[in-house]
Formats: sequence, C-alpha cells, structure tokens
Amino acid sequence: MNLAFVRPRVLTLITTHQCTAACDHCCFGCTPRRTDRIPRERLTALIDEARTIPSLRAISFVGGECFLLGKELDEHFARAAALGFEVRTTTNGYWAVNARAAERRMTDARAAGLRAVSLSTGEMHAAYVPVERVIAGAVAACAAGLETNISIETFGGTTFDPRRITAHAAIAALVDAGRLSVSMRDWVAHADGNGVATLRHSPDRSRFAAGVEHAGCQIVLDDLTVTPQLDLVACCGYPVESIPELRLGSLATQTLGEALERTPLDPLALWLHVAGPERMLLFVAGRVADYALPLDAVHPCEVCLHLHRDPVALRVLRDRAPALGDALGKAYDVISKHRLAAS
Amino acid sequence: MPDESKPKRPLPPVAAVTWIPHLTYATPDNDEFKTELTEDESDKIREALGIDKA
Repeated sequence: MNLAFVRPRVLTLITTHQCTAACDHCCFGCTPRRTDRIPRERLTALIDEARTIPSLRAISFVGGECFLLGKELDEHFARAAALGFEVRTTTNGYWAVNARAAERRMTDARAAGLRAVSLSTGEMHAAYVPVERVIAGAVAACAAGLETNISIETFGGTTFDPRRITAHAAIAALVDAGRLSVSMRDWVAHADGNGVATLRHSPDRSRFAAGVEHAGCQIVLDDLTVTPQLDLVACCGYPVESIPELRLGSLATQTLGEALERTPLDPLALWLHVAGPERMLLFVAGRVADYALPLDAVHPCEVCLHLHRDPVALRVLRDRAPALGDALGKAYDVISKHRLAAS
Repeated sequence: MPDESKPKRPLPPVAAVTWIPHLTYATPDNDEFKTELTEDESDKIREALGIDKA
C-alpha cells in the first residue's frame, strides 16, 4: 500500500477488551472478565510508529474501557500528545463516581494531553454505569477544557429516555453554550450473534428507506484500528473485528509502517470509501435478479458487514472492481487530499 | 510568449462532475475533478456510484 496515496488520518487503538460493563450486543463483546489487551510496551511502540505515517493526525484510545488502564493511559496520552497527535478517547464514564473524582480524572487526562472525549450511555450502558456518572464525567470534561460528546445508544422500544441527559440543567447549559454535544446512535446486533435482546428499529431507519442519502464511507482507509490481538484493520466501524477482508496484517511481528506498505490496497476498500456500502449493494442489485437488500440494516456498518458476508455480492463487486479501480483511485486521491488539507 | 514550436499533447476529454453529490463534500467546487477526470473515468465513477449518465 503506497503511503503517498493512502492517507489515513486517525489511528484507533482498542487498548483492551476489558470493560466495567457487559452491554448486550457490545460490538466487541467486551466484559469485565475479558483481559486481553494490547501489551503496554506495544502500545508505546505503536504510538511511536504512528509518526512514520505522515498523514496521521490523531490517535484515539478506546476499548473496552480504556480508563481501566489507570495512570498508564495518561502516559500514552502524554506520549501521543508530545509527538503532535490530537488525542481522543471514548469511555463509559464509570470513573466519575462523584463530581470531585470526575474533575480529578479529567484534569489529569487533560494535563497529560487528552483533547477530546466521548462518553457512551443508553439503556445497555446504563445497566452497568449510572447515568449520573456520565453527566458528572461530561461536566468535568467540559470544565477541563476538553471537546466533549455524549453518545446515546438507541433502538426500537428502548426504555432509555434521552431527556435524562438533555434535560439535565448542567448538560443543557453546556449544550447551549456550545461546549458539549449530544448525539444518538443506533445500537445494532453484534456481528457474530453475541447478544441476547432482539433489537428492532423503525423501518424508516433502514439505510435503504426512501429519502435516505447514501455517501462514501468516510472511515475506511481514513481511520485505522489496532485490536488487542494486534490486527491492523482498515476501518474503525463496529464490526471491525468481524470482517477479515478489512484486515491489513498483524502487528505482532511487524511495525505499523511495514504492515501498511506490505499489504496491497483492496479495490473494494477504495470503492467503499468513494461510494459507500449502500451504493455498492445497489450496484449488485442492479445486476442480480431479485437480489435481497438488507432492508433491516439501520447503520452503514451493517450494510458493509452484509456486503462482505454475501458471496453473491462479493463476486459481483470483485468481478467489476478491477475495471473501476483506476477511476476510484483518482476519486479517492482527490477526496483524501482535500480532507487531509482541511484537517 | 509561450513556446509554440513544440507539438501540444492533446488534452483528455474533461467531464463536469458537479452532478455527483457525494463528492461535493470533499470538493465543493469540483475544480480538481474537472481537470483530472477523463470522460471514461467519470463514467466509471458514475457506474460505481450507481448514477445514471445525465
């Protein structure tokens, strides 16, 4: 893969699969019992190796629950920040047991180099982490000067009322002041069936519903992920550990730069970046009689998962991809250059 | 004065691609595409995006 051509901007590190929660349908199946993680020394080395990828701008620390790494996490924040990366993280906010603890944790993280934090909540998360902690964590993060977001998972019939967040006086004031954002995201079934609840979504949420705009996948080839098993993957979507075709190699025995340089660029990844998975499946549907689109999919990553697991779709796409490759490469080249210049 | 003595390389056919809405987020004015995409490449991107030729 030519690094003068492929220009990833973000490196996401799934630092650990251990979590204080065990959310039903967690995308990575994280629980308190899982202990697999990227070894400390390898995390340090990966941050250093990120410097060899000229286009990388940010390093995102996620899990599991990466704050379980304790002070070690701050050391990684500091190392990444010292190398000039924007440092981001995602957490469930379990550490915000009270306002003072939350303030201390966010102040330490900010001092180490953290710049942006996203706190996850919703019905599944709230079964393990009280919403009050998410609120305290967000307030503390804003006070520490961090770019802060609260992400609320949602699905049909969820019992979680987002107003528990948005109607809270402190949260509302921060949102009004433009210092905090609150977003909703569809909670979707685990890619390999590791979930109990039957998740349903309103039909108008379908990625193929009338009026839904389709766009290129802005994360594939732009946001690379390292898993606790040290697999390097070409995206950071929720099924990132369940789509072998997106793996770019193991980092157990090679550096980040070596893995990228040695792995050929998959034309389907280019196609995903430029067109997006919905348009690719519509391409298939236009060539295969009575092709069944995954109408239940409410998230682009679900469509992408379907695409990679459907042999008919893969055959049609792989048959045509070589002929489109150069044109898609040009489109990707312009898009990624423009995006890099804007970041 | 430009050197007119050398034979000019024919320019590739240029396709206007402002009709590709997906690409507008990345290239608001699409100028770069207009100068870089040949008609054939434009057709292929259109095919990949599932957009009928206008």
